[in-house]
Amino acid sequence: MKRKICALFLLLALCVPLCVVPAGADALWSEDYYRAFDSSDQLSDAEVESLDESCIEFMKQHRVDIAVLAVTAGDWDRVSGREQAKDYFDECRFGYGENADGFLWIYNVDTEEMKLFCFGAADGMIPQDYIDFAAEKAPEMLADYGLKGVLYGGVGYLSKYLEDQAGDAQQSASGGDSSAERAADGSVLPSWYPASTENFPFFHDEAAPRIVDNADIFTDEEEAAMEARIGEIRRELQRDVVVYTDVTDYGLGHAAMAEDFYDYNGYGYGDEAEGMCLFIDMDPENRGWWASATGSESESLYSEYVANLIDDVLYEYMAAGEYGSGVANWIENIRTLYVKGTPFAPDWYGEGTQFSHDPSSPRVVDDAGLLSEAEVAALTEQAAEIAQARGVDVAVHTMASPVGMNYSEVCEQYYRYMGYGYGDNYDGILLTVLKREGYYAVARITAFGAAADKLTETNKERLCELCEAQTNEHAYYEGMSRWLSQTDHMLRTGRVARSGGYWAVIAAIGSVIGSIFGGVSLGVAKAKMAPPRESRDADAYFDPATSRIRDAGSHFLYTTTTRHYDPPQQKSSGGGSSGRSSYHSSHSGSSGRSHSGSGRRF
Amino acid sequence: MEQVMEQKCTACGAPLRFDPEKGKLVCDACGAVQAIPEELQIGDVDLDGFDFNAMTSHATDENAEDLPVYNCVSCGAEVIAPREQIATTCPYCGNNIVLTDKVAGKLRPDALIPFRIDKKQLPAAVNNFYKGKALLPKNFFSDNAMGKVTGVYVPFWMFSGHIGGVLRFRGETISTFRQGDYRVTQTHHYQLVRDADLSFRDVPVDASGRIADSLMDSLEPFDTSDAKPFDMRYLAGFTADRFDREKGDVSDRAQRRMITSAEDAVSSTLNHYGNVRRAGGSLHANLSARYMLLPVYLFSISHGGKDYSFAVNGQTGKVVGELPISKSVSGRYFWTRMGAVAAAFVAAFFVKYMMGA
Repeated sequence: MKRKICALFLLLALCVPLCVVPAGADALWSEDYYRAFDSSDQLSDAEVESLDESCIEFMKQHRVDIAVLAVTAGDWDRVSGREQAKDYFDECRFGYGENADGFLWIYNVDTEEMKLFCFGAADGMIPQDYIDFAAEKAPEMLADYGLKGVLYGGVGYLSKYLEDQAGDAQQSASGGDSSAERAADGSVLPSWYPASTENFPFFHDEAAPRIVDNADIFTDEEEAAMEARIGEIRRELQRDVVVYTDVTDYGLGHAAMAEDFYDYNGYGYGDEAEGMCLFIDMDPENRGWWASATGSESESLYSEYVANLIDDVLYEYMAAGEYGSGVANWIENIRTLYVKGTPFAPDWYGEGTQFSHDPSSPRVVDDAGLLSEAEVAALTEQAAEIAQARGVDVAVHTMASPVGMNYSEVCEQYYRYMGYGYGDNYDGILLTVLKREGYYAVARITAFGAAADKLTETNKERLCELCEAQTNEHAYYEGMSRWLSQTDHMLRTGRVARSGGYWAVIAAIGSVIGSIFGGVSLGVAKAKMAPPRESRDADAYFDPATSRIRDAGSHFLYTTTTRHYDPPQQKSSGGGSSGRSSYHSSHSGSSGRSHSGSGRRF
Repeated sequence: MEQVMEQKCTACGAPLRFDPEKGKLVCDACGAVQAIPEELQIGDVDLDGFDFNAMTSHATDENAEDLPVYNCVSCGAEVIAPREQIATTCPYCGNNIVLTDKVAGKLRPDALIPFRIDKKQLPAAVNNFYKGKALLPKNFFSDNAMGKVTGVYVPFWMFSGHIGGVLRFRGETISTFRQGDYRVTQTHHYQLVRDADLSFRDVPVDASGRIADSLMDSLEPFDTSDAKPFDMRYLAGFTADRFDREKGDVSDRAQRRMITSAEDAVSSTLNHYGNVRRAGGSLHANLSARYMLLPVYLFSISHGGKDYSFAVNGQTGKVVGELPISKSVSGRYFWTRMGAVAAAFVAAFFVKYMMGA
């Protein structure tokens, strides 16, 4: 760091006797780098130092920074653009005051071209014709005084102009008019908005409508049905659900509209006004929605992850113009979220948390509709035979993939809910095929008791692979039947059978790895027998005690910037997702209440 | 007739030889041991003033009658020695003689490093050298005993001095950050200037044209702190050569090696910059040299109709030389390793399968 101590002494000297530079002025500029730089190496170190001092003097006098840069034609193209010059100026931490006000002269030593860049408050200080005149004079200055003269001239020329201007300003110092106050904002607020939000008396209005469709996007039937369903939810859960549509957000923003509508119109249950509010803005220029959660329980359940899942589903409806269906579905998802802690849980989820025996439960259940009745019957028979032979329960279940839920937990809950398993340890194994429209099927295996002992991680992985290899080809029955036969083999031998082709591939891979190892070993052995070679260095005779390497300069030249379009990865949690929602974690709204929420445009 | 000097036992008059293990002169006839005093007469050595051309003006003429003839002090026989040789053994009586006219005045070496390794230690050192050389022909050890081993004081120029100058580089630092949907990469370009002044001490360069440079370079390093002022008595029992390449002819090699090391050292100070490239500047050498004899054993092994030359550092015992590679051994080496790894790989999967793990 260049002469920070010198700068400190200089500041102290100026501050104490003259009080010209205020206390703390050391933060007004930085002297980390020389303000004069010559990439053509024509200036001596002493000349660079002297120029740098002139620049510092300039800055102290005019309270605007200045730097001079002499470059070769090769470097000219990299620094002569305004953005590049600004990058250089910023990188060197040049500039005076908060806005880094300053000038940067750049001189091309090969073409004798000269440019001035003005940053911050310096922009507009010097008339363009004055700058052009100075640039035209550069070749003359070079002829008379050399490169040093050109750079000194650049500094002196601007200094002269600013001194003249300062003189003029002093003469007319008594003049000037004060700026007027800006007019107050006269924007319109919604009719329900309180006259004053300060000390607003919160209240609960049981009779207030929960569907307020100012944008008129729902039919009367849809509105009545949703109002009735929300009434049921409120009675069941003591949690509010509100839907508000409008054709504008009155300039407040979607989030504030949702939060303020909820807070100022008597919604919410309990001290914390627990509930959810969905605001839909149908302004063609600003179409979107915001779902706001109020109250600690609601905020806790409506996490960013959950918000994205729910918004993904809602987006599909809204983008298709199915507003009534979409909002009705949203209301159901919010109810499920309150009841089961997750928005898309199946009905039975959370119902069967304890193990039980139920011999009458079907052992093959096709909730996803992937099998014919005959196939279900055949699989049921096959499972029963294995169960009888091996003494463990065997079952197959297909279902739609539960969005946003832990698959293993869902499968285990189903096992318990259906009462699968034999004996005290509930010995049994369950294949769950999870299938969602447009996606490949996913196989999950759940086992307890004796079956779990045989189901090692490898066996589990292998059984899933065998099943998915078929189901991904839409051969669901074949995949499940194959899984049953291999499960039988595993229960009998403790392992899932491997094909001859598998072993051939393993042998081939082993041979390739062996060849690589053998080749590397041979290369190392040959290297050990390398013939003598002439030495290329003298490292062994280096004498560090009497040697030195000095950093004689590490000068920043310029910066090049490249930009690659690389949008963040989107979550593929729902088909046709519009991307991630905007999400606000817990924060205070204009009423003072705490909210979290999410929104999206459509 | 040229001048010779012999080392005689003061007890029995038999020839003395220098024993590397004892670091003294020993008499093989009566077993007497004679120390070499430290205070030795060192002739005025003016290395820069060598009149090398004059010394070798007739060396190109290889007619035997032009070669210098010496009389053995012990038996009086006439001994003809090559021009480069400064110590030898009388072929008639076995007396160790030093051809003093070749180490006198301006030809006198500045110093030498005495032999520290005895010939008896060589088989062990060579066997150690063979260790780990898995591709050697099987019979290379058994069928080929070391041939005649010659202990030679090889002439070297030892260069010392400074490499200095200013080097300029261009370098970059890169910062990457995200700006909305864009990944922004900023490359900051710098001019880097380094002022270097680096010292090197005793970089050896082989001054004999009769021995391959690669062989001598591979014998390094020599510890010059163990060097002694030149004394002819250290030559007793060994062959010794004088230089036949002037220091000016070989200084380029020393300079090149020092500059390579200097450039590496300077570059190592620029590690936190990327894409560093030279942008100017140069290094200059300011070197001096001294003439020194270094101890080397030379021998060769014949195998498959070809002679393989070896050299041993007489100070450290380091062995170097070209080794034959057997194709059949190489093939076996490859296949055994390949097969072992492949079998282990398949076996691991099979065991895993059998265990259901």
